[in-house]
Amino acid sequence: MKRYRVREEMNGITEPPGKVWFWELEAGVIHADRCIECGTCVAVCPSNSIGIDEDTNLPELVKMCTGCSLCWDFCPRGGLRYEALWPPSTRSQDEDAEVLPDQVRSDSSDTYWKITGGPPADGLGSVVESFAVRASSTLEDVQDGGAVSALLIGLLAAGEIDGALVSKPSSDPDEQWKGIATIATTADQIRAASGSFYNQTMALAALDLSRYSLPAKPRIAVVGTPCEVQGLRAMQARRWPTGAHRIDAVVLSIALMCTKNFDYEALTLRELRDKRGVDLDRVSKMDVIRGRMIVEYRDGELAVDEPVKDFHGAALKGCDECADFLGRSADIAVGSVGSMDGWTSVLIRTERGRVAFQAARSKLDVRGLDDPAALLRLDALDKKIAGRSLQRKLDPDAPLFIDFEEHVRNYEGTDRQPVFIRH
Amino acid sequence: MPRDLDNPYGMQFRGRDRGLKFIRPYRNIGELNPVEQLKLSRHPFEVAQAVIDTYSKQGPDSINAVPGEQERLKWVGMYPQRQGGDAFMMRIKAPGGVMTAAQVREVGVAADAYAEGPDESPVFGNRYADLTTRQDIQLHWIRIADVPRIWQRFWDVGLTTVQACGDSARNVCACPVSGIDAHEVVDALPVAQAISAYFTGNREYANLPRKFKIAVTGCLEDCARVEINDIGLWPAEQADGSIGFNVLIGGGLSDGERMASDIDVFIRPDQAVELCRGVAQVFGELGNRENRGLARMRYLAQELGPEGFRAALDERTRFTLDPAGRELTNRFRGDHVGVHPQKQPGLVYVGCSVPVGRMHGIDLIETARLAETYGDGGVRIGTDQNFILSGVPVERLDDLLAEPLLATYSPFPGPFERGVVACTGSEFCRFAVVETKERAVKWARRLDAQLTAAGADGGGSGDAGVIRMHFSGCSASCAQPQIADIGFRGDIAHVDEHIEEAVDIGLGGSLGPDAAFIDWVTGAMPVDKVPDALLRLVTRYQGERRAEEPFHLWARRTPEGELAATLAGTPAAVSS
Repeated sequence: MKRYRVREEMNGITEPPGKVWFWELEAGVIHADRCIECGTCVAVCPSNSIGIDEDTNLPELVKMCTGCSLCWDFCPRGGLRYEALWPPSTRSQDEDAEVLPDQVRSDSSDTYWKITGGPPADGLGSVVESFAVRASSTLEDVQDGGAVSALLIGLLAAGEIDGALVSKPSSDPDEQWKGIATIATTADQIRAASGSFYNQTMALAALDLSRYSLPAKPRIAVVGTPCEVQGLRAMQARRWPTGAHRIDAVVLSIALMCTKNFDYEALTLRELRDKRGVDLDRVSKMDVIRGRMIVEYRDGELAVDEPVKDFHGAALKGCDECADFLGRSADIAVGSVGSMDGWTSVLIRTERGRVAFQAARSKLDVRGLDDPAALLRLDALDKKIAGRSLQRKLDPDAPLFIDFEEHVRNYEGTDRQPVFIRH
Repeated sequence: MPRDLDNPYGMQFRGRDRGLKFIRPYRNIGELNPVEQLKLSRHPFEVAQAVIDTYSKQGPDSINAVPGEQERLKWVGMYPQRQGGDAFMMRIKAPGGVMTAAQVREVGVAADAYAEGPDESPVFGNRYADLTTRQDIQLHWIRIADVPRIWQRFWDVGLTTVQACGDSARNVCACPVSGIDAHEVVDALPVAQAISAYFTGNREYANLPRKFKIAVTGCLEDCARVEINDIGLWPAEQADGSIGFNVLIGGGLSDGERMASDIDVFIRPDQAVELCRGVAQVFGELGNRENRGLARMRYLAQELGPEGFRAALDERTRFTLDPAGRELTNRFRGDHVGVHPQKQPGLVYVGCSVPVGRMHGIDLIETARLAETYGDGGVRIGTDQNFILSGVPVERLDDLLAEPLLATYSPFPGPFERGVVACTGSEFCRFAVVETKERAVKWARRLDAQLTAAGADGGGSGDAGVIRMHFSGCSASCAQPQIADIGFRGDIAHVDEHIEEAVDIGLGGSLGPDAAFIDWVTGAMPVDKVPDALLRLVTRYQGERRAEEPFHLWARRTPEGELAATLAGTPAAVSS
């Protein structure tokens, strides 16, 4: 329906069954407080009708909606059954059993069974190779060994990519430690974007490459949270002319393992600056390691060291519904879990990922994963939370798209149900 | 026609820009939507001289370098195509749809010389022009370097592209057979031309909140489609027998359709310009400039109500508003295809069917020749994407009908080819979800052939001899699907885990005495399933229709569930 009050007063006409406009995305995801700010809707809209609300960082309609339904279809909290994108696991159940401690195995068996209706067959998902990695030469201003930065710099140097979609710090003095999405096209720009930001950036909206100086047929690596990679992979798998956004330019996806992400104002401004008195001017590093939120000042002083659980109120509600901690849809998934401090766990998931990794390998120190079971444990926990929050069965074998009507049936009566607001 | 040496491009403007005075006093600039802000930062008419002096010489990048300039191009009748780069759509206005042979020839020459795309269309070839539902002609693939030259040539024959697009009065529509229709009560053409002349190039009313559409007809058949315009003037009679127009306000389609409201006002033809100026004043002052999705005047009309709008208009019009007269419109006419007697004895006009309005430039040139050779030199574009040759002496008719061009653009087409209308579609448009024109023509031809093979006549003569099938690539409704017998709107379907081009299908629209929009009966039908669905539907119509019953009335009396089942090819649910 065309959700402007004045329009509904006019001599409206019957819409066909199942018609989906931006208003359905708004009701089912944005107003229901489930948006994870991945930017898929902005990127997929063929008429570039979806923009970003400056105040809320949420999607908003900026031009006429044509009613094509793609924003709903490709939204990881909307019509996209994200788990249907997961390639089959390359590991057998027995292999997983070897690395899985008994207690976790029985625990996660329950969880898997509950969510998927089947045994925990997928383990770490599709894994071609796995490593622990760090930057081989010391890069300035990097984090967790700088493995991702080194990988991207290596790919740029090898001529494999022309740019990478990354988060860089906002230059707005009112937005300290806020990550904003950008396309980095030089090693210096990648260094400047090094380090983690714990806010979602509507990243895929940055695939409007017209603002950047790039070759006519640019090749872009996307570094993003698993949900951003889900949206991206879905658009790659089901091609449609996507207006200004160059899905066709993306040649590599790197998922940052993630259990949840945060709202910038709620986490950085309210929880850290206001409640805990963190002086954002002095912060040199912000990180979540082994379940703790660590904030360090440049002089080495520890500003915050608290269980990340204390900050969950500032997390995006929609993140709970994601069971994709391990970034199963990506070409490469990276994270700190499963490796010793200073090293990054790397799961190469596709042949494309393997080739890219090889191209950049000279920039990296590489060895075996320290503790794959740690990945499985956190994945099991992540799935458990998803099992409670997701109001549908997690089913990798079900159809890729979920109709809005089915979504309404699944979510009606829950605290995540669609919220229709008339303007 | 001699070249206008003082104004060679027809791009000189007059009047004072009212700018901020149009905006409600309590508004802050920050609340204006981005398009409003860019219109204030530089008047859209400024783009004309910049095209002539700069952009045509420096190329399309120089346009992109000026913020908002792509938007301002609309005021001189141009849009960037979906393809981007150096490819523009150019829209030429024909007030009331009436053109001279010289004008049609010039447009044909321009299409042939400048509208060449990189690829041949299997259906349409290349270097073509599109007749539109607003009685305009559109050219595609225009390069910015060629624009001044084209403007100059157009202006030499009295054609302009000024305000064919943008937030101002668009081409003024009229009954295309004004002045020659045997049954009209007033000749609307001079009225339409006067309104058009008042607004075209007039800075004072060139920054309205949104597009502003005016239609006027003096015929009794509403062929100017007044109820879906911002201002609709249709014939009425006062108690003293004087003939003029009743005023309808706030109609439109797009993605929020509304039939125009009768605001209880009667005007004489000589009051039409001042009436339209007054309405533009109301719209300019009170229209929504914050939310562009609610900026069209129909939302203001809905907000104020007919009485409120009338009061607002009364305050701003230089004459006292008279109450409405007796409405004279007695039917809705979708087209003028065929041979029809004129009010002038011994003359006929010949309506030629142009499927989806697309003609080769060469064919336009030939059309001009036929108009000069057989008729009075006039060519008229309808609101149905077809054209009419006027003033043909009865004794010359057979020779005209024997001309090869009329085999291509037939006055006697099958019912689908006759009624098919399509918007630009995804070929050029940045909004369209699906391709429209090629597909609509293929469907129409296929259905006509199937009906002929089945021995059907398509539904008899008159209204029942046409199926008005309108295909719009998206909800913007440029092909006006809501008033069609069968309306299509581009959509996307999920088929076996994939996404495919599809259409929503609506049935039973019409204007005039039984004005009503379609209801959308079926959603997201994949395009390859549509031809068979239509054949089932039309076969059913032919079996069930009452004598002379037009399609839209049959569709309205048939339960929606049954129509949907017929389209889907599934057995209808048993109605209780």
